[in-house]
Parts: sequence; structure tokens; C-alpha cells
Amino acid sequence: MFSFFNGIESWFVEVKENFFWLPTFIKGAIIVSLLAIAGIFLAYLNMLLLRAVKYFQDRRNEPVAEQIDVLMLEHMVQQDIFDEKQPPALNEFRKLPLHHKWGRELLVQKILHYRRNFSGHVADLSRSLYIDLGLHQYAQQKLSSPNPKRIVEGLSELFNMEITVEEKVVLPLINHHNRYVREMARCYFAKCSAEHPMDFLQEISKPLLAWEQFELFRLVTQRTDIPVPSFARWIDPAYHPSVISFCLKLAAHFQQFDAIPAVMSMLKSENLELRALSINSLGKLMALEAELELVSMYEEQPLSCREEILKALGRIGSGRQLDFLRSQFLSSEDFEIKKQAAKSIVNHKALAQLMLQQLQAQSVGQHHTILQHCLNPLIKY
Amino acid sequence: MQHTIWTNITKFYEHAVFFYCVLLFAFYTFLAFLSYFAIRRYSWKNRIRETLTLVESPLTPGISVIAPAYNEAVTIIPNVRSLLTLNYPRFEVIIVNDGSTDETLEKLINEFELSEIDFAYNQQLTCQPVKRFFKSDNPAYAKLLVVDKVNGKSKADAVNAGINAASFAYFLNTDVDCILDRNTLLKLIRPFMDEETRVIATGATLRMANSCEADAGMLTSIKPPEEWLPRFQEMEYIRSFVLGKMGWTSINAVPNVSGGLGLFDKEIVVKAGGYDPKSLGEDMDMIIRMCKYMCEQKLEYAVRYIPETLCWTESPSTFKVFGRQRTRWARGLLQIFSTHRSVLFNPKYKRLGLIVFPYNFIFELLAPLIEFVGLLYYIYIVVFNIINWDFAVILLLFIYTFSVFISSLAILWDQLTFRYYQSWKDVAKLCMMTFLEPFLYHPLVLFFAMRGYLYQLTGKKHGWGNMQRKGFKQQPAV
Amino acid sequence: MKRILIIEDDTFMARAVNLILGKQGYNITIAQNGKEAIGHMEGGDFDLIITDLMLPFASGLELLSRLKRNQLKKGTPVMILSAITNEKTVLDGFDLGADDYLKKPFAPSELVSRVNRLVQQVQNVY
Repeated sequence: MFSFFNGIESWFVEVKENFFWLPTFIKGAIIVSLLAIAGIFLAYLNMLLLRAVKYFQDRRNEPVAEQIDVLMLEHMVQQDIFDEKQPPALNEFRKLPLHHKWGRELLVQKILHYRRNFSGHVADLSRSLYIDLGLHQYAQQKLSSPNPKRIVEGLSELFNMEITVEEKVVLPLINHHNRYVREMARCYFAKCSAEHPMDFLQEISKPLLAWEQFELFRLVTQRTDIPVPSFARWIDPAYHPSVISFCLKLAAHFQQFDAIPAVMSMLKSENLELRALSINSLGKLMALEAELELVSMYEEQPLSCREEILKALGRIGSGRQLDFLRSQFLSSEDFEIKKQAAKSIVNHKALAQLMLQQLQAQSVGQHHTILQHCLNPLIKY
Repeated sequence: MQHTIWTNITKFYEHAVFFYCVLLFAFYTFLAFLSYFAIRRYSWKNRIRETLTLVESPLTPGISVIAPAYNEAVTIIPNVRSLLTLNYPRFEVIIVNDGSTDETLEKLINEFELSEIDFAYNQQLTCQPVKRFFKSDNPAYAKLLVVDKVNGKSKADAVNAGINAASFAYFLNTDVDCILDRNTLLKLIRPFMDEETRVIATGATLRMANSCEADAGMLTSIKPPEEWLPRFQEMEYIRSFVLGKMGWTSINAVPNVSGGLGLFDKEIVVKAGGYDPKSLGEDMDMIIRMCKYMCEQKLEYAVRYIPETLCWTESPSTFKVFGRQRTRWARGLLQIFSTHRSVLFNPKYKRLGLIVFPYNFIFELLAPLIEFVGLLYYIYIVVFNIINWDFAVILLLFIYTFSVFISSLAILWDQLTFRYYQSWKDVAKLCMMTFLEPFLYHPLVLFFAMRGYLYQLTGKKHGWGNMQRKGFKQQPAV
Repeated sequence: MKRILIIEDDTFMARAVNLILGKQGYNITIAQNGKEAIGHMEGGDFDLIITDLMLPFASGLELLSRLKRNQLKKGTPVMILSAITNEKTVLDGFDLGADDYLKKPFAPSELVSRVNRLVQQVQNVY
């Protein structure tokens, strides 16, 4: 055994001594192997360190997190139930290790979590706690950071806490080169701007991501301090398609009937998705006045818009277009059109009772199956 | 004369192989870099994108979860239950009973109070005929739809039927015996919502469930497999997902969304013709056809992966089943390159034709061949005693150290993503595999790949499908 | 003392609701998932059940339907506490017999007054 290891050792020595005379590719292989060995060593060292750091972080953070929870529950959540509202117990919170960055971050995360889960007095109280402890300063400092990630973190913290900063600081961020900074700046305005929360919409030249739409939607819905802005303003071909589509959805969700004319003007849009969405919104707004136009434009529409028209007619549910729906159901070649027409007839509820009875009595095969499908209350989607 | 030609050939061969190795290693290193940044970006996005937003929003798109089942009577109930309780505000679960011969369907009917209904079924994609549709009489199970179809002898056929019955614009393709993370849908839909380009598919890491503890289809403790064969596979999966797919995702060149778990844009799948029941690698074939379709329509697209593990599956733990699986994979790969050969190096297909296909052709399809020939060559030079032992040892060490290095990096990246294993011992068990893999596991993979190519080229009939897919289900459930 | 069963998989939320209602003098039992909840529901009598919708093992709707089919216990009022605001989901909840639906985020005082009203109502029935 000993001689075996000795042999290996002398082999290594030999390789080392003759290194310069070896062919290039062997030299390369040796160097890469050495680098790989160093890499393996570093990788495992890193894994160990990672686990150690995490372990100590957890041990440090856990008691503080628990302390914060106790304080928050006692001084914020419970306060809400009492009639007499007291200011937050600042001194208790000051005992936390807020002089450390990790302590502050922990508290901020907790406050955000509470604000996300509770509304009303808890949200207000935790906001004033945040301000009174001076935590907003750190977030504000981040706004002037050269690193876009820091700006995003700062902005997101600020708007979630509803802290207003000077407009001249945030305004330029709306046109920041980084997508996420732009996005957070818009969210900031949607949440915090007193007068014109949605004015940024007219400036948008790049698509609003679906996620951003969800976020803005949530922020608009949760604002109770100002009335919901009228979205008809931005339902105009002059704006970016994603802005129009966002506003169409919002106008429908908030049942802004005054938007109907603007929505109807979008029916002529060249953009198929927008056209389909406008039809959809008219349905959700139950725009009786759009009914005739929808029917008259039906023939020259592509499939997606036809389906939407049928769906909208079902939602409007006036009963005046039942014959049209029936003829589509019976005569269309397309399966989805038939299904949508049947669904819309069923959507008319009592108004369509007679027609449904007739159709059921007459239809066989595929028509019958589609009708049964649409009438089945167990099928929800 | 003859002698010098032969020497020149061997010399050329040696250099070519060395060059191939260096190129492969360079690619791996490059992927490791890309993947590191992709993981970092993902973790940062996790901090600014709260999934609660998706739960709360009425705009969140619906998802159809499609899971085919063939003779799964033992585990079907807890598994369907766990699918029904995924965290997501708007989804349906479509169980496609693929002509089971046991009481899978009866069990479903009894447990979920199902009754047969008339269903407006739009046969957009071809598949075996559907016999019956079932919905629950109990509104609490309104999400569930059971489709009972004639056995199509492949998962592809069953998924096609599920897509035909799906009502939402996105669908999740999974297996009924996979255990999913409860937040799977929330996490997989995010890339679709978070990009300007149209995302057509997303996938996430898969891991082995062999030694995990589960309670009624829900994981309660996560551990690497105790048995060696599955544990090798776990390491291999981590490397191929966390390092490979995450690297490819950052340059939008993901070659494949694994059949165990993937979220797809239904419209594109349907337009690309759905899954191909005749394909032995139907998951990769699907992605390639989707990408081809997008290129032909001149549309921008993206296929994305996320580094988190969302799906645990029981891996083959016997050589027989493992061998069958790998043989099939190899055949599938060869089949894909023969069906889609026009894509290779075709600039019309942009990154698909110029990055994804060439890479997979040279380093996935050809690798076993080159390695096999290399082995033969080694034997030849040993037998004729023309080997330079010093150089041979150095070159072997070169390959060995580098492959251990890449596997170790993969485990490190995985640790950066999320700590799945509570104890450091579990990590150590996995790390051990990186050192043993080149000797014990890799030769197996090589052998089965070669067998697969041989079978495919000789046209040996391969009754893939039911038995294959469920081969390992004979063991007791976790 | 009135008994309330809280079914909530988020430990933080469970703790907060427990504290809020505990201070009001209710006897609180917490179930972290559907399975535990079924055990508690079958084992004990409650004056009110507060449930989340998305739960491991069995969804809130499933628990609700189980409860309403149990002849002895179907009178127990149920309040759904969920972050899902989708109208259809809310309606599904009411269809299955839920008595109230509180959306997260909520104000603790609102929770308390709704709970008081629900528990009161049951008293009036008997």
C-alpha cells in the first residue's frame, strides 16, 4: 500500500518536473484539472458557509421576529377592537435592535406583512409607527441610489406604506430606463398621488405587463380616499394598446357606464385583441345601446370577435337578440360559436325559457349535447 | 504507408475528441454562469412580486390542470385531492382516465360523487374517442372533471383529450402520480404575466420522491433518496434543471419542458397540432413544434424555467425499469432529430435552429456515440500496447475533475435557490454522488442510451406507453 | 363559553385571529389543514367555524359541504375568510351554505363584529 502511494507521489513529481516539455493539450488539461479541483473545493466551502451563515442569521432573527409579532399583535391588531384608539407604543418598539440594518429590515418586512393582511386602523397605526421610528428615511435614501434594484426596493416600500415624497423625486423615475423602476414609480402614483393617480397612463409607450396591471388594479381598488378615476379618458386609440386594454377591464370592473361611448368607439379598432376586449367590456357593462351595432358588425368579424359578440349579447340579456343567437347556434359551422351562442341563450334565464324548451325538444346529437352542457349547473367554467 | 494513414487517423481522432471535450466543458461553464445570474434574478423578483397579488386579483387567468391516469387505483384518491387543493384562485382539474382496467374510475366516482353528464367536447386535437364525462354533484368539487376515454397507449393521446376538454387558456401538464408543491400554479404562471414577449411554456425543477415522506398526496418531509440509483438520478436532475435549463432560460433557448410538470399556452399547443402519440419523447417534441410554429408565424416567443422544485416524482429504482426509461429517452431523442431534421442549422428557426438544435445534436445526441467510440479506442490502444499511460491518466483526471466540478456547482446553485434539505447530512449524501457518478452511474446511462439508438435504428418495436410509464408504480407508494 | 373553530394554514393569520377573538372571550380551536379540521368538526361542537378557502388536504368549500350534510351540525354558522376576491368564488361559498365572507385584508374590529353577530344569530334560533 505504502509503495502504491509512493508511486503516485513520484508520478506527480515527474509530471511536475516535465510540465514544460509536455504537449500543449496535456498542459491545458492539467491546468483545467487544477482549476476544477480548486473550484470543487470552493463550491463545498461555499455550501458550508452558506449553511453556517443561514444558521446564525436564523438564530439571530427568530427571537426578534417573535418579539415584533408580540408587539404588533398587542399594540396594533388588538388596538383596533377597542373604541379608544391609542398611538403606537413607540418606546416598546424602540427596544428592538433597530440600530442594525437587519433589525430594521425585519421590522419593515413585518409591518408590510401586517398591512397586507389587515386593513383599517391596523394599517394606519403601523404606518405611523413606520414614520415615527424614522424608517422611511432609509427607503427614501434608496431612491437616489445608482442601482436600479435599490430604487425598486425603496419605491415599493414607500408606496406600500403610503409615504409621499416630493413629486420631483419620483416623476423622473416614470421614464427610468429600467422596466422595474418605471413600474414601481407608476405603482407609487397609483397608490399615493392625491389628485391624479392614473395620469401616467397617457405617457406609457411600452406595454404594461399583465403583472403590473394586476398590481395597479389592486392599488386602485384599495384606495378609499379618492373616488375611482374615470377610465373612459384613456380608452382612446391615441394611447398605447396595453393602456386601453387595461382601462377597458377597469371600466368594466367598476361598472363605469359613462365609458360606454368610448368603448363603442373602440369597436372599429384594427387591433383584434382590443376589439374583442371592447366587445367583452360592453357585455360586462350590459350596454343595451351597443346591442344593435354588435349584431350588425357580426358578419364581418373574425372568430375571436364573433365569440365575444355572442358572449356580450348573453350578458346584456335584453331578449331582443334571442332569434339571432338561435340562428347562430343552429346554423354556424364552428363548434365554439355554437357553444357560445347556446351559453348566451341560457344566460337569458327566464326570457329564454320557451326557446330553450323548443330547442331541447327539436335538437339531437351535437346540438343536444351542447345545450345540455350549457344548461348543466355543475359545469361552471 | 498504410501505417502512417492509420496513425494520422488516430491522431486526428484524439485531437477531435479532446477539442469536443473542451468545447463541451466551455459550454457547461458558460451555462453555469448564465444560470447563476438567472437564479439571482429569480430570487430578487420573488422579493418584489408577491404571489398574494395573483390570489387577490380578479384578473388572474384560469388554468386547466390536466393529469392522465392509467391503472392508478391505489393512489388516485389522495393524488386527485392534492390537485384539487392547489393554491390558486381559478382552476379546474381534468383527470383523463386512459382506459384503466382496474377500478380507478369507480374509485373516483364514489369518492367525488361523480355522475355522467353531457359535455360539449370539441375535438380540436386527434386522440382516441372519449366515452364519458363526469362531474361531481357536490359543488365543493366543482373544479373536477373526469374524462373517460379509450386507451391510447400513450400519455400524449390522453393529454390531447384533456386539452380538448379544457376550458381555460393555460393548461398544466402533469402526471397523476407526481406530488406538486401547493404553490405550483402561482409560481408557474408568473413568467407568463411578467414579460413583454409572449411566453408559451414554463417549467420547474423535478426531484425524486423516493425517500420523501408524504401524507395523503402532500409532502411532509423532503429527503434525498436512500437508494443509490434514485439518488444518482436526483443529482443528475438537479444538474440538468438548475444548471442546464436555468442557463438556457436566460438566453431563451430552453430545449424541453419536462413531461412531469409544465404550464402551456393552450392556443399555441393547439395550433402546433397538440402532442404526438407516436413520439417517444413527446414533451420535447411538443416544445419544438410550438417553437417552430412561432417561428413560422414570425412571432416572438419565450420558453422559461424557474429554479424552484415544484414537482416530486418517484424515480425508477431497479436497473430494469431505469434501463427501460433511459432507452426510451434515447430513442425519443433520435426520433426528434429525424422528424425535425430540417430545423438543424436552419436560420429560419432562429435560436431553435441555430442554438437549441445544434447544441442538443452535438452534445446530447452524439455524446454517447463519441464516448462509446472513445471506449473502444481505449481498449484498442491498451490491447496493442500503444497507450501513453501518463497522458491517459492525465486526460482521465481532466474529465473526472471537471465533471465533479460541474455537478458540485449545480448542488451549490441549488442550495442558493432554496434549502430543500433540512440537515447538512442530506446535502452531503448528494455530494457524495458527484464523486461516484462518473464511475458507477454514467456508464449505465451510456449503455442504455446506446441500446436506445440501436433499437431505434433497427426499428425494434417498443411498446411504450402504459407499462413503461407506470413501470415503477408496482412498489408501495411513498 | 362560545367555541370557535379557526381553519387557517397560515400560522401567522391563525395566531392573529386567535388573539383577536380570544380576547373577546371565545374559546378558540385552531386547525392548520383540512384533515385536522375534519377531525375537530367531527369531534366537537362549535358555535362558529371560520375557514380559509385554500387549504391543504381539503378545501374550505369541501369542509363546508361536509358540515352542511351532517344533520346534527349543519346549523353551525360558517364564515369564510379568504384573500380570493373573485366574484364566482364568493358566490360558490354562499351557494354551499356559508353565512358570511370576509375578504383579506380585513380590519380586526370588522371581524369581531361579524363574529359576534353570527354567534348571536344562532342563539336567537334556539
